[in-house]
Formats: sequence, C-alpha cells, structure tokens
Amino acid sequence: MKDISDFDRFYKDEFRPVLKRIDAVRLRNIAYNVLSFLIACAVFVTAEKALFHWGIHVLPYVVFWALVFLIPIGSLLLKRRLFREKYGYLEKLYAEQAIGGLLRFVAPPLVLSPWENLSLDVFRSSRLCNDRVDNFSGSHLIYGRLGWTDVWFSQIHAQRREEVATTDKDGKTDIEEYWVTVFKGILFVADFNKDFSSVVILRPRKQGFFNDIRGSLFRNREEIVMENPEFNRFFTVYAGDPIEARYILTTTLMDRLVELRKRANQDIDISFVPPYIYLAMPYKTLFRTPVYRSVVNRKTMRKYFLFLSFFAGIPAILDLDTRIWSKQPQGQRTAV
Amino acid sequence: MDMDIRSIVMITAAAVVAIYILIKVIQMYNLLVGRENAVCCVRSSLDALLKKRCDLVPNLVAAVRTYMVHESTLINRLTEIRAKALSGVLSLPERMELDKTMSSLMHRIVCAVENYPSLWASNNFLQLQAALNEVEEQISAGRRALNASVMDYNNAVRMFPTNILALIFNYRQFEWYTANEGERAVPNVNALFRQ
Repeated sequence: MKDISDFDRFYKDEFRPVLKRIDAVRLRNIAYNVLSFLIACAVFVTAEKALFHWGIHVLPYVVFWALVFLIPIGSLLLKRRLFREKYGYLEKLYAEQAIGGLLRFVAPPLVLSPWENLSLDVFRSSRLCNDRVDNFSGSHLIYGRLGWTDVWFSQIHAQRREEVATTDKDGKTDIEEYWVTVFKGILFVADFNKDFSSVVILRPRKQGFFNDIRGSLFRNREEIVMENPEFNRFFTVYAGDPIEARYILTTTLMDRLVELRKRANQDIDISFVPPYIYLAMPYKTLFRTPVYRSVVNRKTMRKYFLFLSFFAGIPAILDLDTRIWSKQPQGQRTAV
Repeated sequence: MDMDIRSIVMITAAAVVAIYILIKVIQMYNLLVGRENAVCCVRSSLDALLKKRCDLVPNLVAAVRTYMVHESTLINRLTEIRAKALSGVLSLPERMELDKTMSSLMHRIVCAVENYPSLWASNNFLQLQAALNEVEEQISAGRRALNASVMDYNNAVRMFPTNILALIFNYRQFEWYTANEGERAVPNVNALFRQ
C-alpha cells in the first residue's frame, strides 16, 4: 500500500499537470459565465436606451427598474442552465481524471463510477439501519477486486420524510414536511473470507460512566461480551449465535478491527451478513467538483488520497485475503 | 382504631417487602437456570462441532494412510480416539481431554504431511486441510463461547446473593475449558526448522 511520501512524489511528478489541465477548463467556464452576464446586461441597457431615445415609452418607470434586476437574474439562471453542461463536463473531467487518477494510483484494480452508488437494497441488507428510508441517493461508487476480495463502496445519503401538522386560529390544518438524515456517509461492502450463516452486528460503544453502568445493569439479551477488553471498549456485539459470533470475530480479527477503528478515528458500524462484511462510516460529502476554488489543491488531494487508501486498505487490515478455510474464491486474483 | 391503621400499614409494608423479596428470589433463580441452560446450549453446539471434526477423521486417514507409512502409529491412535469419542458414554472432563488429544494428533499429522510433497500438493488434501482449518477454528470459537458462558454461570454461583440460592438448590460450578500443557508451550521454531 502506498504511503504519503509516495503520494507527494506522484503529486509533484504526474498528478499536478493533470490537475492544472482541469483547472484551465474551470477558469474558462468562469470566464464564459462572467462574459455572458455582461453581454446580457449591455444588450438590455442599450435596447432600453434606444427605445427611450425614439420616444417609445413602453415601459413604465417601475417596470423598467424591475427589468433592470429581473433580466440579469434571468440571464444568470439561463446561463446556469446553459453552463450546466459545461459544469457537467468539468465534473466528468474532475471525476475521471482527478479522482479516477488518484484511485488508479492508490489501488489500480479498483474502478470508479462517479454517478452510481450502492443501492438501497444493499444498504438495507447491511442491517445497520432499522429506520424507514424515503429518499436514497449517493455517488462515487468504487468497486473491484483486491487480491481475492471483492469490494464495493460509495457515498450514500438516506433520508426519512417527517410531517408536522399545524392548526391555525381558523382551524385550518397545514401539513409541513421535512427531511431527516438517517445516514450520510460511506458504506463499504467486502466479500468475507469465511462461510457463516448468522448475522453479527457491531455497534460503536457509547463511552462514559453512565453508559458503562447502564450497560452493566441492562445488558441486551443478544449482546455478547467478547474476551478482548480493548475491543469491548470500542464495540458492542449483537448476535443470535455466540459460537458463530466468535468464529467470525477471532482474537486476531478483533485486534484488527480495533486497529481499523483507531485509524478511522471515528465511530464505525460493522455488520456481518452472509456472505459479506459491511462497514458504515458517517462522512461529509467528498469529491465535490470545485467551481470557485482551484482544482490544483494539494491539501484536498492529500485528504482524498488518505480516504481512498483507508478504504482500499481495509481488506489488508482485516486480512480478508487469507483463504485457508473451505470458502474458496472464484475467478482471478488481482495484484494489490 | 389508631392502632389498627398502624398495623394495617405495617402489614401492607411487610407484604410489599415480602413480595419484592419473592420476585427477586424468582429472578435470581431464573438467572441461575438461564445461565446453566446457556452453558448446556453452548456445550451441545460444541459437541456438534466436535462430531463434525470426528466425521473428517476418516477422510484424513484415507488421504494420508497410503503415503505416511512411518506415521502409522499416529494414524491408528487417531482412529482409536475417534471411535472412543463417538461412543457417547463420556463425562464432560473425559470429552474435554479427548478433544485435546484429538486436536494434538491431527495437528501432528498435518505437520507431518509437509514431509510428503506429493501429498502436500494434492488437491484433495488441500480441500481437506481447508475443511480441517475451518472446523478447528469453529471449535476454538466454541471453546471461547463455552468459557464465556461458564464464566457468567460461575459468577452467579459464587457471587452474593445468588450464591445463597445456588447453595440451596445445589448448583455447582462448571469446569473451565483449558489448553493442555503441550498446547500452552511456546513452539520452538528453530528446532522445527532444523528437523
């Protein structure tokens, strides 16, 4: 797996020229935008002056000033529509050459599909969310095979619609709807290296004195206390079958999950649902195409590099490539 | 009249306390029964896994017998142990002891296979080894689960106030599942390489 010094070399030698080319497209877009706005304003003012000069007072004073504001705003909206395609082109360029290029550097076997995401069915089958989901979206699906392990991950945003009813003085009821985020972040799915049949769910353990006391007094019927105290500090395990939970969560895997949690430095929800392992990490939106900022931004690219390295490194951290059990991988092994 | 109200209050309070104690006693008794059942459940699951491993023994013996002439004592011993394990008349400590012996014998046979490259490279043996790895890891998980449930149960048997009920209803501590001395020893890798 490549480290940050490899990234710095790659950025300086290969990646920066690519980003500069994308940035030139972005600057051209902005120039087109400003220019067309100025032209629209000039056309309107000239037309109005000409009409006034010829004595055609078609526009009352109020309408004139309304149009002075309306036309530029209208032209801006029109331009946004017109430039949507241009920004689409910039987005495509940014996704394919910047993010895609970075991904090819981090993990060559992985493929980026910028306008696709893991489906709602996959999200539901992870059993990590019991909430109702009314709106589901996402982007940047990354998939492929790392060694023997098939992986998929993407940004997802699951929302639930809520309604609140308000009644005014006349007894008229108004229903106002609003959206609640159920989950926003990264969903990661990988083929697990062992055969298993039951579901095991790992929730981040809530830290703190009162949570500890509550946990010790009211232990959930399906909660399983593992033998690794550090693991228990980070995760609460729920499973129907204690033997299978321990078959999946070997002492080594528990250590590796602790390491993964420390590297992520934030809560991770994990589930084992045959035949996959699912990880859900809350995250703010990534890979957004910069429109008014430069694309040539080492800090942002470094952040994306660390992000991609983390997720592409999960099979190695969890040792999912070890295939010494009866579950044998299908197809070809890729070089990691 | 005044006395009557006081006695009613006293009787009611005593009844409330008695009912509370009774509920607590029932809860504690149920806790003991529940934890004992959990131990039995995990133990029977572990038995099923041990049986699964016993079922793999004939395959292992068939795969290695023709090649491993020098290890015939080991193979015969393994077959004997398997027959004993399947006889079904063993106590828990005996079963534990047998499981440890079988683990150790199978491990020795699989290690010895490395001296027979043609056997080592055979696809059948590789599949068998994967199945053995899997069942060994399942058994290891079963042992850990058994020890966790035994710990829960033994805590209830020894800790106050459930220990009083355990004494009254004759609940005894379960034995821990421990590794034998051979398994606990640190392997000497240098010696293994020199062999």
